[in-house]
Amino acid sequence: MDDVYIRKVCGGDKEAFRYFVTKYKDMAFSIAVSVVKDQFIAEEIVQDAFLKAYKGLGSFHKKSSFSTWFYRIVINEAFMKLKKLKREIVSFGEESNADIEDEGAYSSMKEEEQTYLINRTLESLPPKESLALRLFYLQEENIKEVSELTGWSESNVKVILFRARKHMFEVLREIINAEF
Amino acid sequence: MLNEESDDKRLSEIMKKSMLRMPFSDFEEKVMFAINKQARYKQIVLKDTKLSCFFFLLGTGFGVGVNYYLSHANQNLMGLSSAQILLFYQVSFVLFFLMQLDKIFKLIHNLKS
Repeated sequence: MDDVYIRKVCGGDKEAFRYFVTKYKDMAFSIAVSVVKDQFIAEEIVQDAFLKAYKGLGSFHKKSSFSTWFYRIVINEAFMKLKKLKREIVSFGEESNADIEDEGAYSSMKEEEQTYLINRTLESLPPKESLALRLFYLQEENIKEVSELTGWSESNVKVILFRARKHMFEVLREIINAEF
Repeated sequence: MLNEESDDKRLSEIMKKSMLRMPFSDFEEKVMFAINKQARYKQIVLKDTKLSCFFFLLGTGFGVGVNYYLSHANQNLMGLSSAQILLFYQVSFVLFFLMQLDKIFKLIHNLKS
């Protein structure tokens, strides 16, 4: 389906690009937030990434899928922005633990609240770890694909994922026990 | 203690809840507006580049014509001989031609990139 719309856009149909915006904006936003931890900056990054994708669509040679190519743009943009901002990412720990002090409170939470809590936990993880988790579990990419998307070596991806799982569980262990 | 496999399964289920939705309802419109603006800008630049090339060629033709005229005219002007006028004109013409050629190349290069 993507190929059809790529041909349309390359043929001069600008409005056909809306298909990609609608389809990929949420995942792109999730990826950007994983890195920069700020919704407004993430929006800016995703917008810039779409513009870059539009400009570069003619040079997209279909060696990989459009999603892989586009998410790579998003990841590069996000890390470039992060470098510019030099934001201090609050390390996970104290703040996250404070959220799950009361197990009973978590189990009685609604799904939206649980989603909020999980995203808060991801926000407190270092950018590479939350990005690796989202790509691996949410986008259901394998180690090789995560490596292609991020430019990290496969062994590096494995190490980051291992750390990310460990950190995530340190914060969520009680939540998991309460839920399952 | 949770074993690694069940940890992974549980984390996978938990992570399914981590999908974020774009919270800005006007995001699509903003992107499409930026794309349309960029496309319009590119069209304008393309049109201007074509126009620049046209006037560059026109100016070059005119310059060559003036050069031809001066080389055949035997008139003195303000105490300068026709040979001196021709030399002054030719040096100015070549300098101006090279400067404009450089600008045209840069314009075309920018358009391509």
